[in-house]
Amino acid sequence: MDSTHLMLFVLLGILLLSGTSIFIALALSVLLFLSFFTAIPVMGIIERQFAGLDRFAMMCVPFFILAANIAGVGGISKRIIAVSKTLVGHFKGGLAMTTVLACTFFGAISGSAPATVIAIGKILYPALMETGYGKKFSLGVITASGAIALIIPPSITMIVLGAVCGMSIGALFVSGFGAGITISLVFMIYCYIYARNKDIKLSKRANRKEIWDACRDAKWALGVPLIIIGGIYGGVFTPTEASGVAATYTLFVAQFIHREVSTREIFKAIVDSATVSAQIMIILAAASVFAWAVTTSQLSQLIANWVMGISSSPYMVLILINIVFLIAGCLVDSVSSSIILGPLLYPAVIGAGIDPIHFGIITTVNLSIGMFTPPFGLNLFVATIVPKEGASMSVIIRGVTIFIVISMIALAIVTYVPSISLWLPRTLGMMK
Amino acid sequence: MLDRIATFLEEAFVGFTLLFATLLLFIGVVMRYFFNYAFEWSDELIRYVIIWSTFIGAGLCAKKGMHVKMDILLRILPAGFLRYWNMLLTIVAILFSLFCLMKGFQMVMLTQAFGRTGVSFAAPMWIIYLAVPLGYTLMFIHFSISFYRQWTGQEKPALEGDLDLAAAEQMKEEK
Repeated sequence: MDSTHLMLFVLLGILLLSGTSIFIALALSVLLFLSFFTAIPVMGIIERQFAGLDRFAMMCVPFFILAANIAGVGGISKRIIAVSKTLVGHFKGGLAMTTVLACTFFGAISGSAPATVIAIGKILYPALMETGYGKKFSLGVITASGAIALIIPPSITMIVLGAVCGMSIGALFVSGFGAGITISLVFMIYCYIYARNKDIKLSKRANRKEIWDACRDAKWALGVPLIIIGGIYGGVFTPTEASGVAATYTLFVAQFIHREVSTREIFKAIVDSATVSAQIMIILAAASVFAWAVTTSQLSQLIANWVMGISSSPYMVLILINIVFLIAGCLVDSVSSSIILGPLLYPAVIGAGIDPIHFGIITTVNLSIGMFTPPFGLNLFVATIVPKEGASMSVIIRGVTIFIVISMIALAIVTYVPSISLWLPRTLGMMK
Repeated sequence: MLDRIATFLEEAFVGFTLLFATLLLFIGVVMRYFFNYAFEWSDELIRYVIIWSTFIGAGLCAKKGMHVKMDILLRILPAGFLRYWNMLLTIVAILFSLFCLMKGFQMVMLTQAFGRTGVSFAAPMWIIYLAVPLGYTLMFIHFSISFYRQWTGQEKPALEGDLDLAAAEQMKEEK
């Protein structure tokens, strides 16, 4: 690599830190670099933006966002909570566990963590307060559990990561189950311990009929994960097809079955989804401009050599990845971090003999923890409006601190016991 | 008033394109699995529709101040200085959009001159490529308006978390 290539990264760093929009920083650093240091025509910047998006696998981003948004407004979250409550509500700490479980289920529809915090938190926060959990804990459990949605498929972060590193999105999705359920279990164990110490009152156990009724009422809602999971893993759909079918299905259920919102509100949700997906897709477009410039620089090979110089032990490399992505996760949103860092670290990971899918799942877990890590985790900001009266950032931060600590335990488990996440895709023959 | 009509048109455009692409994808899947008949052109058309939706939507994001940025510096700058800093960033955005719209139109002209068409259907490629310069034209306009509003003090710089708050609060009001 010649030293002028370093300028490309220096430019990107300066632009990102200055607060320029990320998509501009990515493309503009290439523009400045090409014009000042090379003779490569700048027209490539325009062509690459188009070509970067012109891939069918990339198309699932808008459709999954649409499915989740419609599920959020169309009465699906309410039904998912009801089912979760009949399943775990009667344990000690049952309502807190319900929150964790509902977020996990909702994660199977939604790929976005802040949306999950709002969809689940709005309904469960008043109930948590009433049962006597206290503001700090209630907000903590909602803010932290919302991030599980990022790990349970479908996940926008995984789609992006898979696209930029060339990993199988389907295999990444399946590996998300093991990791997501692990975190969910660790959270639920903590809820149990907390409730036992605080002596929170028990709720009555739901009988079979109540469980059945809740499930029957939620049958349309539960169809969404079925389409996505069953469809992709059964080999019926590609992830993109599954996303389109799931989006059509949620539209149909919201409009014709649940009928709790007007067509007008549904259309508004469609417009919001299109805007949010444009926000992500334009970064993907600019990222492919950047990737195009980077291919000539071999920087990622340099990083790989550097990492291997420190240690070639996969354990050490895994720790390094954890640290890098944890820091990135609490500074930038998960999509941008995976776009920028994923391709840079990928060769080092392969060099150390780590399974690419394992790397993908660890990255996703790290970024999801970043979602509720101060100072810039997005879930924290969203959580301030979960209570009707609003909540101060300091209460929320005190509430999530313990969850950050226990997430580290879950992260360690996922990192050093690869079979938790890799067992399912291996069994299904999606990877070797 | 003009602003509201423009916003309405942009929102209607991105909404309908996304809806259209969704239904097209669904119908394509149904046709393939149940009627064993594949539209060869549907995958390609979906890609182009979503690309159009993306670039027009990016203009909408510019208008709403929704483009993702790293706001560490913006959060620690003193409020008085932040205003000027943000105006500088907006100028950078305006110049960048201007570059992309000019180069984008140039690319469209070149493609038109070559007369290329899509792989599986006959629409001329230059019409499809038009999404890029049009999107940047919208961004150029919206960034310029935003600069003017900051200059006259009508608009304050928005930070990442605040936007999510605003969106979530809006959701709450609608509930």
